[in-house]
Amino acid sequence: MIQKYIKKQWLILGFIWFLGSSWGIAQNSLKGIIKDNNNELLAGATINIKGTDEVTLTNVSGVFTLSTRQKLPFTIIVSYVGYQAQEIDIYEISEEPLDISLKLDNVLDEIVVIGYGEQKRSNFTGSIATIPTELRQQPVSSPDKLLQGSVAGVQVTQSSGQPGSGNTIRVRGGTSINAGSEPLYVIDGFPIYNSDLSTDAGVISGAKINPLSSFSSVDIESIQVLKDASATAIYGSRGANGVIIITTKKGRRNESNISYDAFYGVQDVIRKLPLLNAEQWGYLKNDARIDAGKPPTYTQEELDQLGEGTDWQEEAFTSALIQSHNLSLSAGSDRSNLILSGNYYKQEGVIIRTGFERYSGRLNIDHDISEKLKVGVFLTGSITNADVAPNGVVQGLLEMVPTVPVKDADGSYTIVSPFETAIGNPINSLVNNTNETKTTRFLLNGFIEYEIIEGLKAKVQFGTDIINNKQNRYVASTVFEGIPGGSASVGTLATFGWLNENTLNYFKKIASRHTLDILVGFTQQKSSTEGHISNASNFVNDNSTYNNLGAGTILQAPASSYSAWALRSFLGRINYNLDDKYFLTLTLRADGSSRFGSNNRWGTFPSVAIAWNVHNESFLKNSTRISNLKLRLSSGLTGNQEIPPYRSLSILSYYSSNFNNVLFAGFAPSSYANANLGWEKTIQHNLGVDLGLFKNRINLTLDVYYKKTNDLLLNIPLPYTSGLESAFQNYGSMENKGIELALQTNNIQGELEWNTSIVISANRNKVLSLGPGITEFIPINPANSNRPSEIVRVGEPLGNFYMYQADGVFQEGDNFALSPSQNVRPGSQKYKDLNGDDKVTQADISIVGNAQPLFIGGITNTFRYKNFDLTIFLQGSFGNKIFSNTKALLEIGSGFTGASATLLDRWTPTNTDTDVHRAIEDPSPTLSDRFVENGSYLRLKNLSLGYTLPKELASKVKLQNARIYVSLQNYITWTNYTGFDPEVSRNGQDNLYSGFDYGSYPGTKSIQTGISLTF
Amino acid sequence: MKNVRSLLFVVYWCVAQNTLAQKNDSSELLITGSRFAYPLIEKWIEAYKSINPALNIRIVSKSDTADLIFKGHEIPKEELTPEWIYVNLARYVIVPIAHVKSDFALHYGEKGLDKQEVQKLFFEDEFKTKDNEKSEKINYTFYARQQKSCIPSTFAGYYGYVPSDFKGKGISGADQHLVVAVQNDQTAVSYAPLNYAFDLNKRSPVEKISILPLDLNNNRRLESDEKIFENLDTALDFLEAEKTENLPGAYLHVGFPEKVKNPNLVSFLIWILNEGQQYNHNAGFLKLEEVVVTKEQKKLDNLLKELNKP
Repeated sequence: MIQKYIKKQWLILGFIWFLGSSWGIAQNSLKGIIKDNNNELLAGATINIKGTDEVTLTNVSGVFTLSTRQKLPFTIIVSYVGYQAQEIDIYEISEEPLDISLKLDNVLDEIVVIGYGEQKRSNFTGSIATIPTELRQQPVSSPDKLLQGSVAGVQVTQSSGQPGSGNTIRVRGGTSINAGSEPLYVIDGFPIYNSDLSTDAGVISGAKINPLSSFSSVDIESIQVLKDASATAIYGSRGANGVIIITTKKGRRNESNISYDAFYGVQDVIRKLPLLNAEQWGYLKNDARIDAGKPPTYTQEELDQLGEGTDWQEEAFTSALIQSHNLSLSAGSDRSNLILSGNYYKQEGVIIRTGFERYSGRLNIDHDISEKLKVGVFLTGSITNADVAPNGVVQGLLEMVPTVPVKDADGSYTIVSPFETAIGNPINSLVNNTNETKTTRFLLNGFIEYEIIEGLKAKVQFGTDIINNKQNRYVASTVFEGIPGGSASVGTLATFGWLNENTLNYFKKIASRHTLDILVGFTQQKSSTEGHISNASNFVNDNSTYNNLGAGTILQAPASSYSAWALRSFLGRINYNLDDKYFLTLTLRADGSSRFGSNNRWGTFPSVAIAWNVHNESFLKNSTRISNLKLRLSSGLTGNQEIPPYRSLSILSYYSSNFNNVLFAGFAPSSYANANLGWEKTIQHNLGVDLGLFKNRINLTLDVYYKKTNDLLLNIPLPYTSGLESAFQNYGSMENKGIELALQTNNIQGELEWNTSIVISANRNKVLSLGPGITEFIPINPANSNRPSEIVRVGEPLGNFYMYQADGVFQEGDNFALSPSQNVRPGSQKYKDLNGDDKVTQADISIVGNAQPLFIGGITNTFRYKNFDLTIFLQGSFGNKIFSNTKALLEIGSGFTGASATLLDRWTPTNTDTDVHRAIEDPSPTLSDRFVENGSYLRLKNLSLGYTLPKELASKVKLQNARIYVSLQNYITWTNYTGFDPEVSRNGQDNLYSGFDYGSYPGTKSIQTGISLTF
Repeated sequence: MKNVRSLLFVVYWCVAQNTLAQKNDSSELLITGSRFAYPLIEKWIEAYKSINPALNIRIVSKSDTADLIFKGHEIPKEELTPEWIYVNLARYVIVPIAHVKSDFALHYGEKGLDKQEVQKLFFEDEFKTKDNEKSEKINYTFYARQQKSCIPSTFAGYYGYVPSDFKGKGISGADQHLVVAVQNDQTAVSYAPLNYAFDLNKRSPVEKISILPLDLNNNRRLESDEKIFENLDTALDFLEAEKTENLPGAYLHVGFPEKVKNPNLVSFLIWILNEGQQYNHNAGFLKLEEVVVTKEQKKLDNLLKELNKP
């Protein structure tokens, strides 16, 4: 019995040994890392054993492992679209990974990080764009600014020149009226909606700070923009506005280095506005007074002595420094890689006492616990501080009267303009007030991945996004707005979000012709926000500023708030590839969102896409002219959930009333319950072609698309009898259709290399319906609530300016009814009578222009000669209009405020041949198309000249790489727009008030020098 | 119960195997390191064992159990392991090679290569020389290793590059496989240390290999006395006698912890510094210069004194 037992044990052991040893002898595991000639990691490169079907791809870190039983020696072919394929003879399998560098071969196609995975672009069926490397290196404060002019179909509008301020991003046009239309950002796998409200506690005044400014652009490895439904449907309810995938840099296997990148520069305002000097303004003042039947303010002798007066722009604008320093340590072994980096960025404002500063750090770690088990962590932490120019300061600089000095004779700041319109001294405000916002942000995402069987991988991911914003505002008692006693406010906004994603991915190549890539997953995400604001005023002195609210003798009621939202989702995607010729992608995501009513909480978002790689067909494969041709067609449904939480619920709000000097508190409904409130649904169709000619020296990507958004989340005004103002309901529809073109050419190869990249896109937006019986509505303009200037109308695009049409000025004998104003006489502004009733009334208000551009684009030329490189990047927007309320106010000519130099040509009895109205003491302008200007521009966005030290020389000083450069940003702008900068959007991300300029912080141009060292 | 017993048996078996693999006493020295030096190290071991048979010296593949680690490239100061001692024991040089029937060998076998030409050949995309019209027509395939190791690091470092800067067709394998690759391709060009470029028995270049002459005095022309690579001993004698400028090479050195407690280890190294040098030529390596021997000897003598203190 014992013998039998021992015999059996030995048989089992012998079998185990046989299996193990035979596997160990025959199964080889070839490892390596693949880079390009700039040491950029190549994800998705193909490694194929020559003469066999055995193939693998590099992962997102450029690393591959190829398990094979092939007898040594054998040859592998390493290939990557756009790079020259390389053959490597394998004589033995070493523990040390292969270090393979591929040479660039004019890139049309590239590897892309897509939602929940990565894919060779040549196999990708959707529409995707990548920011080119040379444009990714621009010195900017946040990564989203890199999108401008570099990707077809993406419109980026800077809200303000305030350092650190946000941008409005529209991918293939806005799909919503009242809900958010910003794209979804996915940063190292963590989805983020970039609402500028998330870093705004609601205390300070001025431009909102961009939440993405927490991230340093130096840390970015790649930025991909997913545009069509097939690409974005995997993000379901958040995919309708496009998805921007940002991947930060990672360490490299078996490589260690330290790199330092820095730039230092000077900024200036792009331009100053031409205004009347003191003497010129004195004449205007006198004319306006005389026109009103009043005695003039100044005698001729006094006028002669006024001279230039105060140039308020000159007093506030300054040359400002900008600097960035980034130190990163990268280390890697054959199983791990990490990168640790620290960044300091400081941008002083071109307006005194404003600016933005960021300290950020990043740690990315990948580790292979075994061949099957991998873990990784991405961590970004940052602290940002911004001193913001308060609303009104820039307009104050322009409207402040030039005869008023900055300081009185006793050296103290002038408080207020002594004329009819009281304008506080803006320099006094800038110097003595505090208006600051501070944000701390941590984004952490970690994953564990296990290969269950060959090709089947399970991945679990946990992450958190923590944002803490603190804002402080103090208006000093010596400042006009703070009199008497000053006022102080502090506020905090703390957001805590968490994410859990669980996916299974199966990759299988069947009979060498069929490739199947299947993804299924379950994800959940939650975010909660708490806020509080406290205010006090009337302090004994200004010493404590906002740090001692209790010292204020007038305490205002504090406010606090809490809100939360959650999303739970199931997702799936199938990618099928036949012979690298025919591709099919099926995607489905089901989202359940807490923001919607119980009857419509879950939404399902499917998409389908097919692609045909025609070039891989036998009839085209050997073509000497066509080196790449792929046709793509996709269709799908995506959604939008970006409305504030709880809009589907009946909300009771706190109200207080004073009866007989006693304050009574109570609650009343502030919104109706709507259990049917659901998703905005966007159906999108896309047809695309990728074409490469002459060995990919010319590459063209062309896409046409049609998007229709139904069930718009409209904030519908309610009858006053309801007691409520408005409620969110699913009504109406809107369409966007357009064309995008991206062209890359390699014009000259050799010692001198010249590449050109052109992107151009046109989008047409139209409101199709606004619900039963509603054909148009006029939203209230927050900057001028009495005179709304935009209209939303069925059949028209969003962004229509709606006002009178100016028609010169009245002359003697004209019909003075052609004006909505009273006291019309020769020299008054004249308007067009559109309905022919011989008078101008509100019935003559019409659409006079649109804020959306006819087309946008960018052109980049890159030259390399020996160790020199030169990049010239032009970017532009064409056909869009800007309504300038600034211009409207500066052309009033009332003599109450500072005035535009245009008024030098104003109508007078001796100067009647003009279109500028006479001086008149009317304090408010009549809005007309006179103030709607062509906002088209072409801008030298970036010009960068660099020199890379020869390696032989660099190695002598222990450097792997060294580059120095000088860069010009926004240095030349060609435009007819008369404001500070045509790139302006005072109302930021708001869909209804785009193209609006009103005292916006001026744009800047800068010159920078930089250095990039790798040790 | 049966399963538990089976599991215990497997665990015992694994532990026993592992224990056997571990070294235990000072009568044994385990050596590892750069494989291209193994033939020389084996000669040293064989000769030393004949006079010290009680000491068991052997080469192992893993560095984590070894007493001595041999390396053939200069380690940057910052990468040196703290509290280790490094001792130079031999010298070697690396030469460009080509298939003997290649156009490249026919052309440059007579003409020779200067430093700039080597740089362009191995590290730049296009091989253009001052008489580039001719040379561009020469069809050749350059082979290089894809892994970082002593020979590629030394070769690339000599010209101011790193191994990843090599251009051409890569191979995965040992340095010796580069010679095999060149033997198998009539257009092939590569590089090799002398002990791989020469047949150590015949003392002439290995079959199908031509060693390309170099402008050793860096005067941009090949002189007759610079054609030294027809015979290994001639080459070694010349290189030991003359100062050369256009020839990559380095010391073969050994590293070990300075807190070593095995006097046999130190005695073995002292022997290599003295008697062991006579085997260097035979294995294709250069002897150490006298001044280096003296310096290294002093280092080891001091260590031995410390170890022999009661």
